[in-house]
Amino acid sequence: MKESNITYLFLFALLLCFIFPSNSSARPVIADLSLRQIEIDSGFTGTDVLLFGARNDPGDIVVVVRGPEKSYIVRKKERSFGVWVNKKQMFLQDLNGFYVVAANRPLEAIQNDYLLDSLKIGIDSSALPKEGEPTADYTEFSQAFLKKQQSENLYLPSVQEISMMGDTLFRTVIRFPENITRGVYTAEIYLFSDGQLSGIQSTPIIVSKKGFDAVVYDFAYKYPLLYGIIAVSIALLAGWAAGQIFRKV
Amino acid sequence: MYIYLPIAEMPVNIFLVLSLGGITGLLSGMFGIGGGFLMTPLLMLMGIPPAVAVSSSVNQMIGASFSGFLAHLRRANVDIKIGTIIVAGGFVGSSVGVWLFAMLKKIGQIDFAISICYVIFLGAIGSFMAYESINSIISKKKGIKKASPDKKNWLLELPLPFVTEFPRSNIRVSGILPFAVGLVSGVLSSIMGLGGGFILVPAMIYILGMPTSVVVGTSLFNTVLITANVTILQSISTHTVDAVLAMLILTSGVIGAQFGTRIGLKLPAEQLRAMLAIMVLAVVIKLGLGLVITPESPYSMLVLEK
Repeated sequence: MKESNITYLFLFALLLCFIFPSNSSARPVIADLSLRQIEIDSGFTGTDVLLFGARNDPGDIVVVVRGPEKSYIVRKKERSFGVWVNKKQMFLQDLNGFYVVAANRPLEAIQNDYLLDSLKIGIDSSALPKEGEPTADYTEFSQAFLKKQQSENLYLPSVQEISMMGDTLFRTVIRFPENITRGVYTAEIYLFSDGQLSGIQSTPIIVSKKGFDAVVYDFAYKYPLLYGIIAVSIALLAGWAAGQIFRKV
Repeated sequence: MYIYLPIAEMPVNIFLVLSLGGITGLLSGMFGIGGGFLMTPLLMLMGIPPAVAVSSSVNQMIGASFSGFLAHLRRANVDIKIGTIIVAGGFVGSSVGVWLFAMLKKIGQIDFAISICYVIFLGAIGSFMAYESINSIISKKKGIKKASPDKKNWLLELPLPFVTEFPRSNIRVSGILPFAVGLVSGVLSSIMGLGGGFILVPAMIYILGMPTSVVVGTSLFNTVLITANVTILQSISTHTVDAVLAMLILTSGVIGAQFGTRIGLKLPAEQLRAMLAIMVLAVVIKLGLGLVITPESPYSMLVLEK
């Protein structure tokens, strides 16, 4: 289905919601994005995605956008014999490479930290281990991970604003910086009322490469030997060509 | 103006990258070095992932050194015979080096190993070159004509087999010596992500006793082949060769190298060595301080590919 068709359908659905505001079969929260597919090309410097929607029940809206899960090794340098050397290390499994939270009120207003933690909502719960309580070491290294991601604008330390228009409509803008990686991202829209989850919607955002860069990237992974040979040949050719040009000057 | 790098997966300022290539190319042509010991750290400073910076600068070095090599070949400043033996050693050495690199990376000590290698080897070579070249500049000014004292180094006295005549360099040494020189430079250059010229140039002068005039061309001959080998190996094993980045720094690099070669041919050899020594020592001091000074953050992070 085309992007525009989805938008029309969505607008139609919105319209229905207004005509039958107390329709019990309506979903508690519904939302769409201005962009569901982000294509990275040579000129890519990041992009803004508008997320907009409506709630059919009262409550707090929270939006979480997560990037693909990856595993990380975080190492810590310590001084020994006067020089700084990597000593301790920690393996952090399946953490999102990108993480942004937006909400219409501060997250504390939901008053259910346990639920927020289990849904991994909020910067402090975003790097929790999959199972069990984090150890002191884990916390230390995951904090270092968060700091690094924040410095690259891949995690946002503060909760972004969701602006409400009237009682039902809401909108927020999610910034995808220039250094995002490929993969399937998800935009999760939660509705909380009285500290309980009363509605949820999850929409994928596909980040892919486009054009010449995508061709180069795929080629490098599919035919690594040929890629290497071509890289060598072009370099030799360029070196020879420069020599020829300069010889005549 | 920004351009997106497909393998590094990030945009970079195209003019910054081009000027980086031009300056390194100029030095590479002047001194017969690949220029990697400047290029690799500078690329990392721009925020390019270290592994991509190492592999891509190795890729661009092929072009820069090939261009310089051809210029020297036209002037017959290349000893192909001894160069071939050095390259043979280099292939063995760089294979061992790539294996060592992978092992050090696995245990998280590669950055430390790179810095320590730079400080120790570049430090030793830089100090020696500085001392030697200043001495010869002084004695030249005083008008003392000294016969090259380094010809009588103990390595050349060793009773090694396969003694061969190398007419272009006008020396008679065992074939084992150039092979060993290539081997050691191959190991170190692949760990440090370099072309190997920084070890080869002084080794050829001081260990093999080759005349300075053929040293630069012969070193470039070795660099072309070793960097080609490493580029292909890295493409296969780590997928870290960013050809777009390499071509950008290469375009300006080959132009810089042409100018560099011309300047290098005009300058007296001792002055050339003194300048190289100063540059090498500057990099050593920078990296040495990096090991000792308390880092901004003690943490470093590695993404594991799935």
